[in-house]
Amino acid sequence: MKKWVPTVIFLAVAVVLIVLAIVFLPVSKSVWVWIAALLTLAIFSILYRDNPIYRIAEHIFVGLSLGYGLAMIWHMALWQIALRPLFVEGRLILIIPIAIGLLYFTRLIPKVSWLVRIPISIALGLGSGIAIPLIFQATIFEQTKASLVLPEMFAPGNPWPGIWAIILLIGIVTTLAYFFFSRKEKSVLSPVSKVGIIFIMLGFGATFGLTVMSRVSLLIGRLQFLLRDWLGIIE
Amino acid sequence: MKFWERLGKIDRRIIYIVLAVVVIIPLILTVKLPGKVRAMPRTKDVFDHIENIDPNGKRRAILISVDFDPQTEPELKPQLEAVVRHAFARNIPLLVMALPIQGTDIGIEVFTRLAEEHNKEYGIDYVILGWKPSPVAVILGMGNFIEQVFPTDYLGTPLSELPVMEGIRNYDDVGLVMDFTGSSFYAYWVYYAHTPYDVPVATGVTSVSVADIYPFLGSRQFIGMLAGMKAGAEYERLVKDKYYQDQDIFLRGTQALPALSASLLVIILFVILGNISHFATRRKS
Repeated sequence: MKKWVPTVIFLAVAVVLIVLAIVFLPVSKSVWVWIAALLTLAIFSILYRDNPIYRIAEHIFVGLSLGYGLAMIWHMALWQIALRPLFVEGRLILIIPIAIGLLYFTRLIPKVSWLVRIPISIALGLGSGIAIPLIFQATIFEQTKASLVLPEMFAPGNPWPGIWAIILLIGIVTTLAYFFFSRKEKSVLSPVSKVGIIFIMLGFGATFGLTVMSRVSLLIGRLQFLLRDWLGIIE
Repeated sequence: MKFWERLGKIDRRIIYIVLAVVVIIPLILTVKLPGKVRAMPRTKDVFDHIENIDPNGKRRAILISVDFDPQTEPELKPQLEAVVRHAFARNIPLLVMALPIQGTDIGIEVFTRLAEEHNKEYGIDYVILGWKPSPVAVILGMGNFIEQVFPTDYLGTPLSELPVMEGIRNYDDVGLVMDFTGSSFYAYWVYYAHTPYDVPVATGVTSVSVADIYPFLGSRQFIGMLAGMKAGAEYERLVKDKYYQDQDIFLRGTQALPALSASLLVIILFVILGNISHFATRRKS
């Protein structure tokens, strides 16, 4: 079979279905809904195999995303934060940060490309200074505190918080033992790390299940759009 | 070729068709699940927290960050709509913003539609702050003074002229930061809003991120979590039962739940059959 045959068949079937839908169903009259629906079907066509219709939709998506991003950055960032305050409101102090930001472009001129280190070092220093203490607090100290097993967790009549806390603690210790690589092959840590593998596998299983649920939800969302907003089959 | 061998080599397109049919049929036939949708404790935590916000008190506002793009909309939009309906029903002032660029437009679409449904007025009941670059600077800056980061709303109106912003200066006046995200923006809110300013934070995430959120729930750095489309349906049910019993409102997540359950059952079946086929053919070889 020639390569273009499935594409032609797909197009013909799509046209027939669309004509039938227009005649028999309360389809949307919005041009935008139609564009979105046809592009959705075009992207779905990859499930059969790679084809020109899919590639057209893919290129439209990439181009559109880039154009949208650039327009938004111009209107909501460059113009609002930098250019309008500087040129319209006359806030001359902004020349300093704008000039530092422009130094990023010196990478394009080999003779002065070393100047790019100035904005990079400022961004790096500032970012690290802000992030390190807060992330340490949020992820190390708070999480360590949360893994403590405390006597009040074993309240009479409801010991479950305490039991969960113990299981959590065992999971943390054994998983960390598994990732402690610089040990002898038959050390005391070996059986402990084997328990860690069980916890890691449980984690992988949960993540896989959740990923499947996530992807199916996306499919349902798109089909909801096609059946409700476009074709009007469901309310 | 034996049955199990043939089953192991089944064309993936047949699986796609089966899955599509399994999703479409419950949607078209408006199948309802037996029994009531029961909210998970993490979903209930978010609901209860919003229930306890006093719309006339000090910490009366909810800051909603629409940190997702169209790719994850099917999972997160039902959650967002349910939370907005809840806040509108309780007359809680809403501040809407976005950390990724696309979030602003999704926020505008959802809020414009729901505000019309609930007779809420822009500038009085809610405000859309918009988007600003550099999430870390935005989140930290708002802890000091919101107007310093967003001097105007997304339409260019100064925030000082909007009645909804009266008495709302920074996180001290915010009862909850609710972040809806399909990526890792939830961590920014924990690191840069909850940790330094102690503002209550909750998140609505896609199912795929749920495992990453649990450590922050155990430590109460998040007061609650909405997990995927299922939590959207759960929250819709909580809100409908309490505030919209007699009203006919579109519940996006609830409508999708039977299709989600059916498709997951089919996938479980495929996994079991695939494993049987694998072991049967391996033993033979």
